Amino acid sequence: MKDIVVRKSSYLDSVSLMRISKQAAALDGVTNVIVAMATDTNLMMICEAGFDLSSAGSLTPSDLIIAVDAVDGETLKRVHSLILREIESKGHVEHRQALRPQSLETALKPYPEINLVLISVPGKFAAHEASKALRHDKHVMIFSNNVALDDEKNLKAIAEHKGLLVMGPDCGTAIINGIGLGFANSVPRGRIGIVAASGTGAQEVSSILARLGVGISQLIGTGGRDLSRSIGGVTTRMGLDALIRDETTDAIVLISKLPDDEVAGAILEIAKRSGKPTIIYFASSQERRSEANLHFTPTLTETALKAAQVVTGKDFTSRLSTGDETNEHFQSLLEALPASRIYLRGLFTGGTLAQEALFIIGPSLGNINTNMHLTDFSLLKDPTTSLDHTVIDLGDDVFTRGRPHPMIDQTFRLARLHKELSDPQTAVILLDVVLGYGCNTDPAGEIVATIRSHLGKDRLGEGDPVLIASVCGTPGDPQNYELQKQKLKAAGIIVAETNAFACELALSALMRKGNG
Amino acid sequence: MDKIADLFAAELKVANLGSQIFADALTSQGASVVSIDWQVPCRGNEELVTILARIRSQDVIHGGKPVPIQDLIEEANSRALETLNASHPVVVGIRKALHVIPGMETGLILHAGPPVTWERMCGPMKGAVMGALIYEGLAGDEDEAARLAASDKIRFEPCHHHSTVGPMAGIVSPSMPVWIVENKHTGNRAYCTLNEGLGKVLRYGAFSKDVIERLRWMEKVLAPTLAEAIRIHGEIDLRTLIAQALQMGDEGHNRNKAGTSLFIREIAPAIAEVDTSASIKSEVLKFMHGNDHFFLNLTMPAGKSSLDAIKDIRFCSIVTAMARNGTEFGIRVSGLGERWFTAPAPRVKGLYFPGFSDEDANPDIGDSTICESYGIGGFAMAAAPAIVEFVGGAPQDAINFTLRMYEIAAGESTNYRIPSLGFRGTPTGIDLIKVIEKGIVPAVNTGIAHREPGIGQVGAGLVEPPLQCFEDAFKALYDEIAKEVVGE
Repeated sequence: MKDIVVRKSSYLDSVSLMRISKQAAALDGVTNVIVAMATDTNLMMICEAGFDLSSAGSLTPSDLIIAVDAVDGETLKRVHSLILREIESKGHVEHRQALRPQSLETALKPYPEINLVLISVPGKFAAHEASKALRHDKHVMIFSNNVALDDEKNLKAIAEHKGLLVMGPDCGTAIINGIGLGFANSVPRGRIGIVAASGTGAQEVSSILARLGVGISQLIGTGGRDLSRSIGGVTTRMGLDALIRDETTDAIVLISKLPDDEVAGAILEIAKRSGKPTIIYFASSQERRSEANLHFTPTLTETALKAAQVVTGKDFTSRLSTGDETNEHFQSLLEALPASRIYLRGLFTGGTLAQEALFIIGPSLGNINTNMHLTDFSLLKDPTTSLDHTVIDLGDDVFTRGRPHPMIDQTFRLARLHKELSDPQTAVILLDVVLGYGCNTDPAGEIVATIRSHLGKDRLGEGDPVLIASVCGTPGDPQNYELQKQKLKAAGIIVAETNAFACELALSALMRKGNG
Repeated sequence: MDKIADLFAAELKVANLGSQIFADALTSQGASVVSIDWQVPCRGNEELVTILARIRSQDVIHGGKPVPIQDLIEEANSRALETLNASHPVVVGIRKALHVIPGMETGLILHAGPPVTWERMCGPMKGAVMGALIYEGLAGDEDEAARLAASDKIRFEPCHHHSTVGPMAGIVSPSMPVWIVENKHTGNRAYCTLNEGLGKVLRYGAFSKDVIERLRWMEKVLAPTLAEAIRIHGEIDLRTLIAQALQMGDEGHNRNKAGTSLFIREIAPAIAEVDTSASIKSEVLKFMHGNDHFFLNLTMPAGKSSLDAIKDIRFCSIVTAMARNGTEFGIRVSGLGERWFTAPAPRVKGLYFPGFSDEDANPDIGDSTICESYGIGGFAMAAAPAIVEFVGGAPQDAINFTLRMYEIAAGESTNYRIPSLGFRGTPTGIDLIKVIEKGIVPAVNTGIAHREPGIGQVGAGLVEPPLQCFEDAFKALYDEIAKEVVGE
């Protein structure tokens, strides 16, 4: 069934008409469709296709012809309504997104004012991207891990030569000009500058400071290997220098897990010469002492307290407490803990928080197994299974290769939590709950849901293991700090103010158990 | 100068490469962030990744001392880009191919794309060859022409080997009149036939009587009239015309309405002065007016004369030609001189004229991809909102099309600018290394020929060049450079 419709004086461009014809031709029952302007060439073609133009009257090239050959009248109607809709929809264009640049060079053309490049691509590609950024004179933060040591060395040599910062690789946290990069808490601006070879260490100190109402000037991350012998502390030194010169910084906090002695010595010498008060946390050192302007502290909590005291002149110690130690619920859980429950299981998303736990608890408790390479502790052969007292860093490469960091995706930790809850020998489970930009949006909610699904009840009770957690966060964080604490408490989890306090609670629980 | 202190004093502006979570976190803090859509290099091809890493890390002996390969390439590319931007194509005249095209001789037929034998030619190209032999008076009909074409009396060579480019089949025979375009910056010339119009035409493989008659009219009437008009007018500045056309909605390959109009406006007063009849002048003007693509045969030699100025630059990774013969797609790269790298010609994804469909289409054909190599055509899609239907329908799609090409461009044009991008220069000079690293092939706009000879154009659309020929060229370029690698 052939049909011709003419729309007088309705010009449409030929490309639109080709597209409309193509759509109409795709309908079922359509043999042929020609939607075209009535030019001589088109008219001839329509005739050649077997349509009768005699009824169309006189035509000009500005008339639109719709010629349809279809199996029945019903199909004809459908074709015409589709074509009409398409013709009339012209001009209503949905909003489309502009294409994002696919590479740094392309981004820098229209945005030359970019001054920092944040890299979180897979490790084997990160060094190349960083070297491009340096070549364009941009500061760099490399969140990615699994970057070769040689690459780190080369990058930092170039950066030092050019006077640029390379934060990382494996730099989880930085706050520059009040803006958090990677995993970072909402911290007010203030007069304490932080240089940290450890992401969660920096988060713990900066968020404790924020909760005390004390702000920071800058938080420079360096990456976990910066203070190793092979890297030689390049970024730490550059960051320290910058903060020494920075007039808005009154005191400096220096954080590292396990620095090389020689490298640390050289860094401390620079800090000492500057005369600016410097508070130092080296995870392996349990020292608490001051020497001229240098203050060594044994825990991240004390580091924050000392820094706050130095810049404000006030002692904040009484503002922080272990919190729930005297809590009735905690006491009743301890008393009801079966004699068979004897072991500690620490499941950390933050590596430095895990180390802090080992160094606080280890000396009193005795041997602890861990997946971290530390001379004072036994290395677990199989990091996926706990053995006696165990503290696990879930941010370790074993758990993160090809997946997001556990501070974003807790899947492995929740599965592990399930396992520890099922172990009849588990006495205490120690957890860190890390909040901030870039982090999981509801870590407490996920932990509580796991407990609920495991126990089949809303709240931990007598006979269950004791769960102790600290929340590393601030009231300004996107997750809602207070709500996160409430969720944990509502599930019967003991919530301590800081990780150090959580560790002390855990230790007291285990010691009481041991003594009782 | 203290760059860290400068950072502390500045407003932070971050480029985020990798996890989108961190870009979103920055946005939610009110920070300024450019979120880069980072992709795995070389589409994950380990062999190519390895070569890329070598290019970035190795030195070669150059001028008696070791120099990083990367520096040599960058230096060669920036020199080439400078030449490309300084190139200044102008029309200087029209003459018979035999008299001006270097190496043209009786019995030689030029064709589009990389080299191809008669046996392997596609339908439209065979049709055009037969038409050309009839037009030259060497054959009386189709059969005779086919026998002659298959004999050793006729030789075939690519247009590109003779400073020439031809749209679609690109057939050039000795008697055909050709545009002479000179690159005033370097003095070299390029040639192209005059566009015959749409429908049944030789370049799409048609060779019926009317096609041959039109070719003869072009030779006897159109070409002499225009040649005389150009003599009266003096050289015609193509660089300026193309620049203006791009600001009037052309992209220079699939849309040439503005360019054609501008050309007519430029030449009309001189045509009026030509010593010939009013009816001939009128015929000539009507012929140009009746063909929206008349100007294409000028943008193409403009591109060819400019790109020929950068062929054969040592270490240069810029593509100097992309061309198709309907059987194969081929490219040439500056640092590899005259070599072709080919792969089977892809199919065009397109929209069809009424009455035609995918089944009628010949694989991609023609030298017109010289436009994209030159930084117009598909690369200037953002300039041509009138034909956005080809790329998705919305003006933003056309803009995105061009934005994507900046990823693989060696630089930006200083002549051709796009209003909708704030008059940013078009992406110019296809950098082979970027094509490989990003896995993005050049975007090409093109017409679609019917696969049978004699029917003509059946549609238009987009074609995705085969990545294979770029990969082969990339490996060859590294092998060429690595001959003098230090320490191996």
